[in-house]
Amino acid sequence: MTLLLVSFAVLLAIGLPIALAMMGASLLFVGWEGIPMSVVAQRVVTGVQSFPLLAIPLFTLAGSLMNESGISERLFGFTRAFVGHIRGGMAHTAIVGNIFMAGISGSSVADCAATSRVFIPQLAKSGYGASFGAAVCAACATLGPIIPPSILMVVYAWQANISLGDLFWAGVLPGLLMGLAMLLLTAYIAHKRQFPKEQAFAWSRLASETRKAAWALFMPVLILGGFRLGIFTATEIAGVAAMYSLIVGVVIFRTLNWSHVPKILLQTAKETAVILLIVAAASPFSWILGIEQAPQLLSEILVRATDKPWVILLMLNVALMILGCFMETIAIMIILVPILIPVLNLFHIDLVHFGIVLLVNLTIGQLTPPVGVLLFVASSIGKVGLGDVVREVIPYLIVLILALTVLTYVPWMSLWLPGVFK
Amino acid sequence: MGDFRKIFGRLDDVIGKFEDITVIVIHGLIAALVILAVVLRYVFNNPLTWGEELIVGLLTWMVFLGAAAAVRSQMHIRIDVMAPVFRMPKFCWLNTVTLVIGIAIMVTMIWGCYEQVLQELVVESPMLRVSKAWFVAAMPVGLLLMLVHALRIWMDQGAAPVFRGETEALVMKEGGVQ
Repeated sequence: MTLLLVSFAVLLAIGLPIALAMMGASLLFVGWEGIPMSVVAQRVVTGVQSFPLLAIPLFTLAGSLMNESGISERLFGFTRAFVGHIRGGMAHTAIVGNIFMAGISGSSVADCAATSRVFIPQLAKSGYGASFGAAVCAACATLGPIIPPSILMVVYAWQANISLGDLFWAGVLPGLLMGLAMLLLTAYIAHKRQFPKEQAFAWSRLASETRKAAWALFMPVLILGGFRLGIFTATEIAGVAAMYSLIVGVVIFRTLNWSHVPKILLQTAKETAVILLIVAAASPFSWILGIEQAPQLLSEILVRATDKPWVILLMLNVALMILGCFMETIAIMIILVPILIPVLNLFHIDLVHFGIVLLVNLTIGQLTPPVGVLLFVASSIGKVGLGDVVREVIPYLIVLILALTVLTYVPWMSLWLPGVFK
Repeated sequence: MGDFRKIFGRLDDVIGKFEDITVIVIHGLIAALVILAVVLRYVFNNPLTWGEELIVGLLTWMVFLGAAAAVRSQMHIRIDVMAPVFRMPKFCWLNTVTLVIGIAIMVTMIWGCYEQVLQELVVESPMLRVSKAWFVAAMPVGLLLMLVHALRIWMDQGAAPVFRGETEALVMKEGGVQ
C-alpha cells in the first residue's frame, strides 16, 4: 500500500492529471506484485459502466442548456428585485442569485465564473471594491455543490450506495444556512463600510421579474419533485431535466438556437468525461486499497484513538479541511469515501449526513489557498491580486466554517427533509 | 521534421473533428434514449429492455473519446499547487519529465486494454447479444487518441501545456496569477 500511495503522491506532485496518476500508481503496484496489467484495464473500464453515473452528463447538460438560454440574467434580475433594496444590495443579489443558480447548475467553478463576469465589474463600479466583489463571488459559488442538483452528490451517492434523492433533499437546508450566514456577514460589512443601496423595493418589479425567471425557478422543483414521487431513477430525472431545459431555452425563452446544441453537447460531454475518467481510474486504486485492508487499518487507528462519534467527526473535519487546501475536491472524495464508509458505519454516523459534511468541507477547500480554484477564477476574471481576494474572503471562510460546525453537530439540518419527503 | 509536424498536425485536426462529431452524436443519443426509455416505461408501460445496456455502452465511448477531446481543450484536472514552480525557467525540464511519464502510463494502459479486449471478444452482452469487446474497445481507442493529441501539443507548444488544467488555462487566459 505504501508503494501505491507514495507513487500516487509523487505522480500528482509532478503535475500529472489525477486520472493518469491513479492509473500509473495502480500499474506500478500490480507490476510489483506480479498481477497482470489487464486487471487494471478491466477495473478502469468497468468503473465507468454504471447506469447511475449517467445522471452526471444529463444534469450537466440540463445546467448548460439553462445557462446558454441566458438564465443567469433572469435570475439575477429576480434576486435584485428581491434583495437589491438592502444596503449592499448588489452583493446580496450575487449571493441570493447563487442560491438559485446552484439549483440549476451543479458546478461551483461554472457558477463562480458566471457570477464573477456579471458582478465583479458592477460591484467595482458601484464602490464596493473589485477585491470584495471577487471574494463575494468566490464565496457564494461554494453553494453550487451543496444545493441540488450537484455532480459531486451523484458521485458520493454512487460511492456510498445511498439514495441520491435523499442526498439532494439533505443539501437544501445546509445550502440555505450557508447562504444565510453569508448574507448576514455581507449585511454587517455593508453597514460598516456604508455600501450603497440599490433601487427601492417594489412589488410590481418583483412580480414581473419573478414571471421572467419562473421557468428557471421551477427546475429544482421538478428535480426534487421527481425524487419525491419515488418512481423515477436519478438518471431518468436528469434526462427529464435536460429535456425541460431544452424546451424552456428553445420554445419558451427562444434564446437558445438549435445550432447552439452541438456545442453544448460537446462541452458537457468533455466535462463529464474528465470527472468519469477519474471515477474509472479510481476503481483499480480502491480495489488495491481494499485488498491491502486500508479501511480496516484506518478503523483500527480511529477506534484506538476514540470511541466517540463527535470526536471522529471533528478529526475528519480537520483532516478534510487540511486536505482541501492542497487537493482537488473530486480527488479527495474518490480516494477517501471508499476507505471512510466502513469507519462511518462502525461509529453509526449516517452516510447522508456525512455526505453533506464532506461536501461542505470540500467546497470550503475551494476557497483556501494554495489550491483554492474559486479564488483563482474570481481573481483572474476580476483582474485583482490573489492576496487582496484572500484578505477579503477570510470573514466568509470563518462564517462558512461556523456553518460547517453547525451542520456537523446538528444532523437534523441534513436529515430532516429527506425524512419528511421519503 | 517541419513537414512531419505539419502532416501530423493535419492528421490530428482531422481526428479531432471526427472525435468531436462522434462525442456530440453519442451524447445526443444518450439523452434521447434516456427520454425514450422514460416515455416507453411510464407512458406506454413497455420498458426498453435493451436500452440500459446500450446507453451504458455509449457512455463508455463518450467518456473515453471525451477524455481525448478534453486533452485538446486542456480540461483535465490536476493538482496545480506546483504549477508556478513548473513555470520557473530553472524547473521547466520537469514538464518534459511529467509528459514522458504520462505517455509511458498511457502506452502501458493501451497494452493492458489490448489484452482485455482480446479476452472480451468471445463474451456476449446479455441483452444486445453483441461481443463485449465493442464496449471495452472504447478505452484503448480513447487512450490512443489522448496520446496522439498529447504528442501534437508537445510538438507545437512544448511540454508545459499538455496536461494543463481548466482552472490554470482559464487563469492564464484572463491574465491572472496562480
